[in-house]
Amino acid sequence: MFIPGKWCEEIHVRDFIIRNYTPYDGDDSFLSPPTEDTLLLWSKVLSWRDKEIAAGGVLDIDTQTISSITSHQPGYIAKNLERIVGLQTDSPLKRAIMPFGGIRMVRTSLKAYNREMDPKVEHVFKYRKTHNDGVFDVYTLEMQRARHAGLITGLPDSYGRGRIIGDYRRVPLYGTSFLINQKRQAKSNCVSDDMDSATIQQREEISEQIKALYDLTRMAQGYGFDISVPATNLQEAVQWLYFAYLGAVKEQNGAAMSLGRVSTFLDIYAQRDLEDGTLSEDLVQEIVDHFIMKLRMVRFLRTPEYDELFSGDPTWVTEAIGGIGVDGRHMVTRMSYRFLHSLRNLGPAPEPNLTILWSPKLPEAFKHYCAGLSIETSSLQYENDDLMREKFGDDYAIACCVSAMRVGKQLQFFGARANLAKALLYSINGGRDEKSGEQIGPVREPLTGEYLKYDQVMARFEETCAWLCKLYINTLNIIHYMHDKYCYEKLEMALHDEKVFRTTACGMAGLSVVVDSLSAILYARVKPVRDESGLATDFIIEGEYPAFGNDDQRADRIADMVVRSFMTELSKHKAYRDSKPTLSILTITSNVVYGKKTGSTPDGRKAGEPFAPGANPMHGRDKKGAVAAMRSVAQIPYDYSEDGISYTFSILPATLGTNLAEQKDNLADLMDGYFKDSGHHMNVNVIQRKVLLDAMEHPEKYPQLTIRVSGYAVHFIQLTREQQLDVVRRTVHAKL
Amino acid sequence: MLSAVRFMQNCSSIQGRIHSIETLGALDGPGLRYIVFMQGCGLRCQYCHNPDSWDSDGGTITTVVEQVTDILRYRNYLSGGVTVSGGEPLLQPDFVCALIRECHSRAGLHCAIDTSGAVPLDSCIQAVREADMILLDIKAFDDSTAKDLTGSDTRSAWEMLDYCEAAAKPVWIRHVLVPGKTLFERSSLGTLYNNEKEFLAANPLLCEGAARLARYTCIQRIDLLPFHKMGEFKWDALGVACKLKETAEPSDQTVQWCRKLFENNL
Repeated sequence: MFIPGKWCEEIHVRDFIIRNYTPYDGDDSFLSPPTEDTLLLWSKVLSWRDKEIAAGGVLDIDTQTISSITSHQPGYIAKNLERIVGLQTDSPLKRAIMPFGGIRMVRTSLKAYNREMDPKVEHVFKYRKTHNDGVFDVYTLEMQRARHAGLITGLPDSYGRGRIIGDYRRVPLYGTSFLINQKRQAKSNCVSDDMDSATIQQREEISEQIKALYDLTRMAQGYGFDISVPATNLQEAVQWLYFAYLGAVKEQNGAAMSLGRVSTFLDIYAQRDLEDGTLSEDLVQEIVDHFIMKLRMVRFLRTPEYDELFSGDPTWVTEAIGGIGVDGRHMVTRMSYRFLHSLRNLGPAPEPNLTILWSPKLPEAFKHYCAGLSIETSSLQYENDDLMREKFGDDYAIACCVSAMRVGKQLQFFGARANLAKALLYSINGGRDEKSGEQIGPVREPLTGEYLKYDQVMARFEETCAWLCKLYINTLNIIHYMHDKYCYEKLEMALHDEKVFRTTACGMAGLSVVVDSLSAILYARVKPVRDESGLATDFIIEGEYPAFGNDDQRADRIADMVVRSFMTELSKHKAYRDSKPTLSILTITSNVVYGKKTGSTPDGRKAGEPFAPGANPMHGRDKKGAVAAMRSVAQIPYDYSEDGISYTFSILPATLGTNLAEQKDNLADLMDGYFKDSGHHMNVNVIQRKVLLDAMEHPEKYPQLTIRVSGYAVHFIQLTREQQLDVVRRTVHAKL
Repeated sequence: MLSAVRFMQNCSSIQGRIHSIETLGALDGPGLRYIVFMQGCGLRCQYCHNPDSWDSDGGTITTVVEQVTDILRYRNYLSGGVTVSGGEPLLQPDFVCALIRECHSRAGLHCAIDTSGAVPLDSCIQAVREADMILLDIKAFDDSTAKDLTGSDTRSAWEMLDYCEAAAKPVWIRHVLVPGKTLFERSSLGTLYNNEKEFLAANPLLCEGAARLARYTCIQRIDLLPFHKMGEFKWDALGVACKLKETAEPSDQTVQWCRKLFENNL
């Protein structure tokens, strides 16, 4: 039996884990290879995937059914082989339509794949408004202009916002009946003297949540399982948990649909079954591998424009692994290994987005195992557990790429990002857009004079940022008001406490462009080239300037200042539902599109050229080796960028050491160093450029070649050509 | 007490000539290490990657304190420690000795000296004693090849190795495999040897060298480095004629046989 505690009386998953989990200090020698059934099933999945690739990326679309938790009949790959069942639709990789985020987006997607909207579905949306409609009913002209100009971009105003992680573990631990009862009680307690809009909204939402839990129970019944009661063994625990997640991805086409932190939770069940002798290690691994296969098969229907921003069909099924508990014990279990081992049993893959919560205090064997996997597969990302534990405790997970949140207790309103490089150009051009010449920001006299003066530019830049932050928060307020109203995540929220902590997660793109530009203006001489209307469309740099990414305080201090002041501006504004504004420095693959939409900048970057991803130094400007670049990035203050600081790092294998054992040691040591220096996140690629070049020419040879881009991994061959080139041009450190 | 303080002060103000630094390297000694390349070298190795480090009057002058301060900025990364390389670091023995002392006393960092050993031991014994490890480059296994290749014999290198053996100081040996100089991989017909036996028979010096090294228990590891041409551009830039311009890099097979030979003897 499990050790009882608080978790028996009320919903408290962390309490269950802490009381029952078994830390594992050993190495990977206990792991099992794939079973025959696994291999057979995986080969079937791969053949479905081949068909999908052959069909141009989208295999099939159910155009008639509006997706919901219960919309589709049970689907299977090969029922007799599957230890874990459940598909989003009735057939593998067939995509569903989820129009509540925006019917227009569905229409565009269908058109892109030569399909037509079913008339019956069209008919429904004659009468039913979507999130997207709501937002555009309310947007101000100023917001629309800023959006159109690409100053604030990637906003979730026409698609699902995602970034909300249901605590999917609650379903196996408690069963849906208990959860429904808890919600009923919560609803009856949710009354106030004044039936104000907040209380009305809360009561309505809890009602929706209860319905979602009933629907989920029904969906599982369709597959022949009764999830109203707690899971009694590992197989059930994984199945119940997967059903909960599946319900969420049937109901929501969110930008990132992360899984949470489930492996150590599941290890408790595995450990018990192993001790009881009801399961052997190879069967435990089999269940895990089958679960991972399902996670690799999650698909959403998206528009080509969306794909251009977030390339490679990502779903961000992020699973956080490892970390250290508040009580000082590490949280690595055998299940942590088993999840990672799927990369060997099934081959490398971008999903699930396996994220190691790193601390120098993790067991050495585990650190080396992870480093070895990174060298072999480039499929892992690492985040600083010591930094996050302080803010989020020991039961947080990562939404999308770098956003930490307490599981089931906290959510974020995803806010995409502001293009800071463009904001800098507006400061120089008196609020006019450098590409179109249109007046977007408040009217100011453009800066004149032969050379740009640092103090003048800074004063204007601060003014622009103040205006931008206000506009940005207000825009997000509208978006999330409407998302709650028309596209509420009822199942994910059913797996949260009723009192949740909310953040409004803003972001910035182009940090290193801005820092280098300001550095150039301060330390070299920058001469704007103006067109006949006085618009600065290009810049001539005379002299040298210290660039971000070289561990040079002159540039790194500017980065620190830019981040602090932007965050401070954001904090001045009231965000929707009393959420706390936060900031991330993360672009995902959108650095390419943002670059395309932005004119030449004072750092010497030409119009249309990509930004560096996330918080990375600009390609090729980090000349002093890997550690100098890492030190610069690690200096960006996490306290002012609490939603994450993404750094994508690529290195040649030979630079890490002469043999694999040394390379593993050194990579683990390198990460210890970066995280001790307070670095927040690191994507690790151990690659040779020539392999990437070969994969561009011969994609058929590299079906599973996986690389980490900003915050997630992709199959390299699924990137657009432009993004492939961007990856190839990035600095691959040949020097530490 | 006073004299100790004064000694430390003296240590800190000792100046040295630095060719360059590498804030982190994974290839010169165990773990991740900060590498200080000292300026000045008495040898003129034909395959030198850094001929710009030869001139003893070149480089940048720095003090021990300045250097250690910079090293400590990278402390979180230095799982290995510090390696003092060059140039020939032992041509500046006082600086190297003081630098290692400071690294030891201020941060307990493991310190290695990467040397060719072509410096009389008695002139640098303090620094060698202070070091936790020696990376010793044996240029060739006979004096005439060594002289031809570097301008100097290897007598003092073996003396240093003897000292390390007596003092039980860990050593990593390095040796560059230069076809036509330190190894012979082609028969008189100009073709590559196609079996190991023939290759070994044609390289008695290498075999003797391997056997000789095998007698030292202080040797932890032998790195055989295949000659490569990555430094060639520097020779051109300095306007120095590179005598190995026509020399090819050794074949993978040859390198593999050599590694086996030395491993079997270790």
